[in-house]
Amino acid sequence: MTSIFSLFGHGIFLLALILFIVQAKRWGKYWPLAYVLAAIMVVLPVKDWLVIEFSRGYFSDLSMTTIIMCSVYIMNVAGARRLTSSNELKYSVLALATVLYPLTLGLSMLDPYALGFSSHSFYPLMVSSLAVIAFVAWYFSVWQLALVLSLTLLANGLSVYESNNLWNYLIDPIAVIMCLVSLIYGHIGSVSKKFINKINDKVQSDV
Amino acid sequence: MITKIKKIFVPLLIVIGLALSLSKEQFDEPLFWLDTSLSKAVPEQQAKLSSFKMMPVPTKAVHSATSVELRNGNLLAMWYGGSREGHVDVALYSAEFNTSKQVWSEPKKVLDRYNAANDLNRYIKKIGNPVLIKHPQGPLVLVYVSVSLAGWATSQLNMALSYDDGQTWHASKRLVTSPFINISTLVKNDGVIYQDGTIGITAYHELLGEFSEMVRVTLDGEMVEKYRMTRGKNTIQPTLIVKNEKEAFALMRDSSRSIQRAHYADTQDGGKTWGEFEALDVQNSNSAVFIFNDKKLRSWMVYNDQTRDMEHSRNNLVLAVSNDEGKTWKNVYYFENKELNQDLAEKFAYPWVEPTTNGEYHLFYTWSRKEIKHTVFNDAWLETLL
Repeated sequence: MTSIFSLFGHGIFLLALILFIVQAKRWGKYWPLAYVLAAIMVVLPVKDWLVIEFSRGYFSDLSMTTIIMCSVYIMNVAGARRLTSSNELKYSVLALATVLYPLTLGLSMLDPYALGFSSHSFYPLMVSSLAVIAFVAWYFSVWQLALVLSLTLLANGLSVYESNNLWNYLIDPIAVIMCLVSLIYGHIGSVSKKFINKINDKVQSDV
Repeated sequence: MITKIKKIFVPLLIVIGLALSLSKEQFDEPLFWLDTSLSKAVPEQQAKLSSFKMMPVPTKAVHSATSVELRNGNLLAMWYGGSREGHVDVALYSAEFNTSKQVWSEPKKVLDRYNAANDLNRYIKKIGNPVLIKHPQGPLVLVYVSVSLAGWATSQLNMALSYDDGQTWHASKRLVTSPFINISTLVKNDGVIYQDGTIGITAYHELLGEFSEMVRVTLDGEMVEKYRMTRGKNTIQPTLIVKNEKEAFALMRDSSRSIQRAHYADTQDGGKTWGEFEALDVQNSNSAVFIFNDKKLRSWMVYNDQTRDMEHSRNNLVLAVSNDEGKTWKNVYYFENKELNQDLAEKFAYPWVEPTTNGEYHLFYTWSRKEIKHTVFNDAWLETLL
């Protein structure tokens, strides 16, 4: 059962990745074709494995953050709603990663990852804190953050993956990379937009 | 419509998720289980020291042997073999030592990367170190390393059970031990059993930081908790001696590039927390060490003694004894290269000692990556070294 959920997550991730690589947003009315092509590539056999099995082998089970962000991107390509991942979610993920990863990679004797196991004495506090943050995010209409946190709690409670640790449902390096790239890309975009607007204003005033 | 879903659906998810997360199984604080079968008195013995070669080994290269005593008194050994370390053709092999006839069975393949991939539903690039643990409830537990991404630093742990003393193995399960795409947890040395039946795997981490940790799992392969033993960049491959239900000490291989010494750490609470680790006056050349107790609770260590030949530091294998629970060690016997006259290119590494209920100790180690050497000695022989 855990394999089904995990492979489903990797399917979404690969679909988003392929749609991004082929720049399906630019395919206009042919975007469904991009979806079909991407879906076929996800289950293509390469040597003795499927592409999706390589993905699972390399990246392990994907966090709810990654799945939600990839889902948002897939929906964005389809154009059904002009959705983008929220900056609140991205900054939260980056802040968490800044603390979690250096410590879990051996910076000190403190291992925050251990807090995510249900037998750890701080686990109830950690789970309750996440629920409170999720409620606050929901109250202030930060929907994506609220959805990620609620799905994390649900997936962890149901142990839908092999992992028994809350952190694995919440965050992974792919989510961190996506947030980082997205924020940098967004920042460059806004700076270049301002620059172009400035030039346009100057040209118009000269005319 | 979507706004309504958001307003009702999201808080509902939070409440259900919180309730389910808080209802997950919780385990008691760790208390070591003590194997009393090994401390039972045995009849008076003659000093014994004998060696066997586990030949013919079916592969060009072999490494990292592990062993357990079976219910019938025989020994099951396991190791990995292939064209070379890390090659895609590497598989786990096992053989059984008949203690009454004193012969080894033909080695047989236990699993390769394809078997592991089938069990785990994912791509597996290579497999590595196996560790066998005998569980008091009956089954043999196999914990082994597999890699999908790159080198050994991206290893992941898997676990399989055998209820017929290693004749067949149930499907492997993946142990998720890290938030970093679950990479960089390895094993080399013996594990411990806790009083609630959970297993303490002596693991270590190798990506950026190199440190030791205890990975606590149930017999079903469910992670219970993880306890950090050290931090930083140079203490790996912990090996443990349990003193009582709460106390144990561990020695660790020094993986630094500077002056290399075995490291020591101890715990007073069943391995949940560990004291600050310290370097011992034991020069060890970034190679595995293994410690075990004899029936009189003296501590013994098998390791490569770096003081004899800095350049060819794995060119010997020595037995050392400690009378102060692992703080100071004295070399008492060289299993390999006693006179320091063998071919210096030969390497003897990755020791594993399996004490058995008949008062013997079975030492296994890699002999120049070509074969696994098996040496048997007993308490009476150990007494002669003191």
